[in-house]
Amino acid sequence: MKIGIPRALLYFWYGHIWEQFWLTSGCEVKISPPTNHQIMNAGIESALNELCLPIKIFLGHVINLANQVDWIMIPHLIQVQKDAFICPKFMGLPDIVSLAVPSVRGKLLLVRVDPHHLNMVDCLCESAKQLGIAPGRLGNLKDSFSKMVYQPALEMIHNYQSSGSPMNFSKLRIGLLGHPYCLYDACLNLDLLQILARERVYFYTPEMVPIEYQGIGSGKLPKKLFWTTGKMQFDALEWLLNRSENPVDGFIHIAPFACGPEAIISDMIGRRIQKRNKPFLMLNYEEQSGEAGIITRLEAFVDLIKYQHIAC
Amino acid sequence: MLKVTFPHIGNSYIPFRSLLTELGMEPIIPPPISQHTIELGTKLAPEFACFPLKINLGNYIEAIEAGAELILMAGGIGPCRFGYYGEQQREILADAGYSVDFLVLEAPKTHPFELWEKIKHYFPQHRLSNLSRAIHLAWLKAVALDRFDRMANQIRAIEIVSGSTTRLQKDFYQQLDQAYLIKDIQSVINHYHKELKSLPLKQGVLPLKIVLVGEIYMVLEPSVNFEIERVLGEMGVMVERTIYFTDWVRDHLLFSIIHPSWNRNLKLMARPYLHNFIGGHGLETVALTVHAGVNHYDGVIELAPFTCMPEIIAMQALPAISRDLGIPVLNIIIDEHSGEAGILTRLEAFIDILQYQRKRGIGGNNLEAVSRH
Repeated sequence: MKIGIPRALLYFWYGHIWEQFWLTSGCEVKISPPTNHQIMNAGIESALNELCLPIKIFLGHVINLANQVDWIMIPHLIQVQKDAFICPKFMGLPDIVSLAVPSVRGKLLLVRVDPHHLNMVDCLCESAKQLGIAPGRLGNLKDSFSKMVYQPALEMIHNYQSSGSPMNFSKLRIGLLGHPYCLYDACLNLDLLQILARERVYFYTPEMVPIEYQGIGSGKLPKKLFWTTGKMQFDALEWLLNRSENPVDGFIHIAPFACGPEAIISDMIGRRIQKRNKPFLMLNYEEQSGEAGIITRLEAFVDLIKYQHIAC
Repeated sequence: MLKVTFPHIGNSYIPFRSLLTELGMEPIIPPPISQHTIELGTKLAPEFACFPLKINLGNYIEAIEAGAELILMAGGIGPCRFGYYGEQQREILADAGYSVDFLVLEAPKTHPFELWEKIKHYFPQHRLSNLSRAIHLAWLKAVALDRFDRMANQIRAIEIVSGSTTRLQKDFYQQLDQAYLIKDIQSVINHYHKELKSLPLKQGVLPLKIVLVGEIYMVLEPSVNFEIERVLGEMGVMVERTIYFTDWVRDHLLFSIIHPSWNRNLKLMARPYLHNFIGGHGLETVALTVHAGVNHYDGVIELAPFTCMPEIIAMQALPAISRDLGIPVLNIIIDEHSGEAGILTRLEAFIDILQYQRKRGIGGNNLEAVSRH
């Protein structure tokens, strides 16, 4: 049995868990290739105009996998954390997929993570039952699996940052804030991480927040935030603003055009960064984003913090 | 007395005024939403925040200019952005230099004690007996308003004197707003309901019937939806609005506690297209479009603010429902750049199509029409 996993949305958090799980349970796994223009355009054509770019890209990956596998795994992530959602669009994702790409309707393998079943491995076991795979022996692997959270993202960061020797990095440090599927999808963000690595800027992302800082920044908000990805950005902000050694020189926030939760998060984050007098750049991406425009803004921003760095 | 304000949503300022007055506060009603209000809000709000948040901000600023000291706002627990409006608006106003207290009322289901503590802190007359009397009075007005609006939407389509229903509606709002004793309120309600029922009506016409679904603020607030109910009514269309303020309060504040499966029917209706709750009114939009299709209405109009997450998911389902059940659907997305002429043109074109379908005998109401004549 061949199972397809779309390399989109929260693949960058849970990808390795998903892959290892299906491999351990004796299935063949096919992960769609990193987003390219063909995938993106296929998604854009099939989707409703109003949807955000990451969802359109996800649809593109589904279309890409459609003819190559028996089942396409659709993560139905209602809540991955207590009292926090990800985004309404994740809650409606299976319906969006089956409405936008009706031809794959019979191939969808849903993995539903909801408030009653927060453990990813348990939920995967439930889906495995649908395929007639006995999950008994998989339960034992729970611990080793749960260590793999964020692994795809962290591996990618490692690759970018080790492409040169540490000597190569200038002393510039930037905090990158945003959803994982914006930060790590090179096609969506027009290779932002590569550009930064080329400019020899060291960057931090929300996935790199050490465990003792998790929940600190978001806990300081006057009202509990109900989006997981938003919480992580506030944690990262708290961690980066209060580092005693190697303080960051500036922040870049990246979001898809017209993203709902980010409209609130980026605004509140921006206010906090401004109060600490750090430079802040907001980049919005959509299917029409031009590379030249983004690179110009990015270079200008890096120049700005370089001069600030020298001046201090 | 503490001067209290709250954002506009439809005609709810009428019951809120009674409620606050009864609790011993001085209500400051923000001036009616105008282009100026929208400009004030848009200037301060983040670009991609949804339209209601921007209008709320405009309301607050105009109310602060009129002397308001405390802002009341509702809260929520997501996933829709509305739940975090209050916190963000508080920060925006503070950073813009407005000094004002901000009280976010969370739903009694999730934060029962917190709600009571807040009420006790701010309201001078916070004994339970005062509270229940104030709520009773406000509820009486809210129910009367919704009942009147429901009837007016039916009658406006077949009135003989164009504009008579709307005129009566405006008078009713004004008189009800000024009535403070239960006796007066009752007599105003009785008088205007009688007036409404005695308006001269066209006979023997079978108007088009349209269901209005969508995001609650866009549906309830006539000044942002370009008075869609009045416009459609005057085109001779019966509008069935699916969201009423009292229904919302009943379902979300009361039924969600004492009757948790209140939305079971909605869920069942939406099931073929949408399997679970997606926040806001997304599920309702899908379910009620199915309802309109199954019950042979002539069309559905969905109203949504730009970037509204739940409505976008619903929008993805609407073409499929439209195809499966043969019901025409129009979605209208509104933000600060929407122009009245553009919306009107689209409405007129939509109504033309529905009338043409009716003539050719493929319209939704057609079955009923055949059996009547």
